[in-house]
Amino acid sequence: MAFFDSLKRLFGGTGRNGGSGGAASSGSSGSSDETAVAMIPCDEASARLFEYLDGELEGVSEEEVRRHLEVCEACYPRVQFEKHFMEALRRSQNGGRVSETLRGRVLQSLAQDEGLD
Amino acid sequence: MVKSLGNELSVPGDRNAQGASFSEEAVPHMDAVYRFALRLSGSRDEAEDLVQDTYLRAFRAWEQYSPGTRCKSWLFTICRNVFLRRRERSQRHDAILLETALDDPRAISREASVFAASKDEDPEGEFFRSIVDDQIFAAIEELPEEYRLVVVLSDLEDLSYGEIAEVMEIPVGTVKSRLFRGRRQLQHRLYDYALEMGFISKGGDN
Repeated sequence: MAFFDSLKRLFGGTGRNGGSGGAASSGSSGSSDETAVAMIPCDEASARLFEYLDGELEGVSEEEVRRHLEVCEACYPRVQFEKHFMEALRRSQNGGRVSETLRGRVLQSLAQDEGLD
Repeated sequence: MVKSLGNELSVPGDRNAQGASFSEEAVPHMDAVYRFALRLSGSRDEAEDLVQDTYLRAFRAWEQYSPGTRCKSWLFTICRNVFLRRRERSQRHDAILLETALDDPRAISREASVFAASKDEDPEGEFFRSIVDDQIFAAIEELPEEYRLVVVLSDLEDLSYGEIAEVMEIPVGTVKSRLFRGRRQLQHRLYDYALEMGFISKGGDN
């Protein structure tokens, strides 16, 4: 899948026209028909980049945004940029575990709470 | 008194009428609740108290928990409520949010992006990989509260926009705009740090 996408990007996304604004070419994507949907402009797609990466795209244009971001060569660095950023955040998730003392204290208070009810 | 510690609470009330077990569903999230409490309060001691109160409340309300809601975000909601109530009690109303100003879409689009700044030097943001975890932790800590919490809930705790909206009691649109701006601010901080550390050099400088 990812491989296929990068192929599409190589052969299809010819939208390298300096970035924002220009509509990415809807591409002579090597694959058969792809229901020849006209691509939405880069800025429209990148405005919803976070929603795309968060898996929260919805609404009528969902598929268009997804399609654009998966294929457009001009948007590719930006997608990678945000991905690297979000990966860094996720990996930093070391921040704190409860101590055994606290865990014990919490569980103990729960066990005792039953008695008071 | 205490019949069992560890992950098994052998007390009545562990399983609610719908069959959900507190020790199986709620207790395993204690680390996540603690982290969230730490982000909320900024203090270890307070975070510990918050965890304790949150679990006690959650346990007492366990009958109202319906499987299907995500337990972690249910616990976060309780934790935030406990936190707010405590803060009210201690009369610290210092953090009044200027919601309208924050959510002005024009203000959002006016923000310069780090992506644009580092585009020539490092278009795909490889420099993020070089930044150590502690630095990321600190940068998150420095974010204003309203951004910090949504970023934490989304990027670190993996909650959906809808779940964050519930925990924070804000509309989904606000979640989106805060997340957007919070991430942008965070990127600025990390970018500055990367410049400082020499992971990246300023574009057009040489």
